[in-house]
Amino acid sequence: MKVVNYDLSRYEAFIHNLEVILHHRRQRPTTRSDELYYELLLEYYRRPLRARAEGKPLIAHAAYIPTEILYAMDLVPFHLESFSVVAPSVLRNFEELASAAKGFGLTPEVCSAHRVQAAWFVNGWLPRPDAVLWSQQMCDSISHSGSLLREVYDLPGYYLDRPYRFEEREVRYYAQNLAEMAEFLEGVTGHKLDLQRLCQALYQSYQSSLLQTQLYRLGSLVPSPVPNRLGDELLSICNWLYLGTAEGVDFAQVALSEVKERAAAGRGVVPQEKHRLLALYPPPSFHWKLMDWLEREHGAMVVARPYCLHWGPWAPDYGHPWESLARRCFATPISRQFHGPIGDCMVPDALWDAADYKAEGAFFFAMINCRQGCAMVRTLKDALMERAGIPTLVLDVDVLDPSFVSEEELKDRFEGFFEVLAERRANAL
Amino acid sequence: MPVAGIDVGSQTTKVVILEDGQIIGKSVVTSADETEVGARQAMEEALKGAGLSFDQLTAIVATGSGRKDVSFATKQKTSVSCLAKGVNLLFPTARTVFDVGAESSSVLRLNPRGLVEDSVGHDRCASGTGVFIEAMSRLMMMPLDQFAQLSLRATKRAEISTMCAIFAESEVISHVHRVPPTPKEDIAAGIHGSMAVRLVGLGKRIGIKPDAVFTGGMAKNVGFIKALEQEIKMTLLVPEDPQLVAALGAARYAMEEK
Repeated sequence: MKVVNYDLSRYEAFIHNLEVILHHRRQRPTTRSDELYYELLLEYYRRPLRARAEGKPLIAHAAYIPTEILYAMDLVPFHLESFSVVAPSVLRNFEELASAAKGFGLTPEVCSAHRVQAAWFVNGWLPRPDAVLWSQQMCDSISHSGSLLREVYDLPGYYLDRPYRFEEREVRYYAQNLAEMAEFLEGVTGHKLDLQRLCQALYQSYQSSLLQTQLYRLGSLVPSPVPNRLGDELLSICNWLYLGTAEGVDFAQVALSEVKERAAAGRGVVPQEKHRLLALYPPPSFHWKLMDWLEREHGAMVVARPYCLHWGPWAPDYGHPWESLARRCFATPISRQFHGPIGDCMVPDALWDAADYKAEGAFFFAMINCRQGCAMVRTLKDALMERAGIPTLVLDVDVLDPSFVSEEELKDRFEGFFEVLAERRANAL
Repeated sequence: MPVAGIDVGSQTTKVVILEDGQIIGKSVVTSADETEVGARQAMEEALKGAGLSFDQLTAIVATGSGRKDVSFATKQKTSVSCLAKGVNLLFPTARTVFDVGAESSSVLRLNPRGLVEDSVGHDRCASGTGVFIEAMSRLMMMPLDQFAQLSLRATKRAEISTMCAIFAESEVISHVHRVPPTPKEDIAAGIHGSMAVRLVGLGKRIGIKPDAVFTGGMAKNVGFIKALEQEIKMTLLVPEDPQLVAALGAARYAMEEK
């Protein structure tokens, strides 16, 4: 099937709602990073609507396609998974999207984020991209999403083959793939890649990773000066939407300054920190307020997120930009932890963080239709209990469907978990 | 100094009154539409049995799904904690707890000190809970106790392939009407067996270790006890009043607070 008619009214409504949210934030300011988060989100999603008028090709891409290449070629990126997760919670239209996906034959067993993504595609509700890039990071749904978009929009596309393990031979292979992807983009868009600009983008990514790592380390302080929401905001802005840009670096810098100020004053985010937790999977998009509730009502701080901010070691070598970019990709959180065997990075990162950040418990939002996410649960739980001595709360949720589990239910589970942690502390376990 | 624990469930409200660590009063009352009303009724009944007045209680801990609506409780604790506490009092060697109530089921794993190491729950649908088995017994047109006893006489289990309460009903009807009809005792065993398989599947998510204790209203169902023991290949420890375990744990917390 091909999309013939386009209807951008929902996309425009999404932009409008983001504007309203930003306006609300400005009326009731909290932190500069909070406001900047919405400013950058809004600007990012406005660009696809302007791209054609500005003569810039719009490139739809799956998660973990290196955006340095796109920014270096002056292309307008459109991050498919980020949009799929953000838009339904901003528009509150999950039911409509799920129903549209069902009409296309996608059942609830398929990841909700990819069902709604398919709904946007097949109904022509997205600005038409000029090409699509995708890979198999981090799941099999992503590996099919690009080909669907190609088909319904009749687009040229490139499938990037990200190797499974981080070994030298794999780095060289991936570097070659990345260079070929750039050639493909040059052919499709007519924009030439300037290697100097690519190196500049790599420099920005490196700066961003250093700032994120500094900020992440501050979570190990007692009390923690890092707000619960910040980790996922950094993931979104710095690693998904703006990696390789000055804006991404600025956001990380602003966030880091706020956290450093608290740290220098010896202040935590909350007056009385009661629980130190490891987060092992992102929260559902409509339950971010739960992160605030954890802080406010229970003094529960997410001190570490191994999946989200725990970068692997890397540094750019500007004499070998493609290999540097490949290494950057292997080092980037989520792709690093979730793409290869979990014993390679996710488990060691979680164990390291549990000890280093003095966590007493962990929690895992198990997205019920995420096969590889749920497949990690038992291994992680057992490793954390047997080797770090900390229990893990597993919460069955859906990434986008708010009707799957109520906020009250999730709060009840957390409260039970906090009682368990308190008992363990009282019995000095 | 007497203290009380109150467990407000979806179908019943349970109260245990302790004095010097001994149970001196208890009650199980059908929950009212208004949680507070049902809680007061259950409390009055338990107090009557203990020969006490409300003012004599020095602490009350509420637990269960309705715990936040008990205005006269001095403290609240979640079911997970109270269940673990109650089980540890009764069976210090317990390492696994299967709790099946009217509308929810859960499995806890305890460490040697009786503290919760892990827990998993299921409260998303009726299957695997008390209301499901009640619905099946009504379908078979016999009281619940009789339905449970019937399952013990089965020589084999009828295959009940689905755990959806709605579709299981269709399957049971098919069994009854096939030619020749599936023996009723086999159907009863099949229903109990499929519930047990589901519960054990839940338990395997966190690991099942002996000794295993069975609590909640469903622990009074002899058919389900047998089916569950067959699945886990262990003998279950069942308290005398399996419905009161969480309330007992809550009362114990009240005692520790004083």
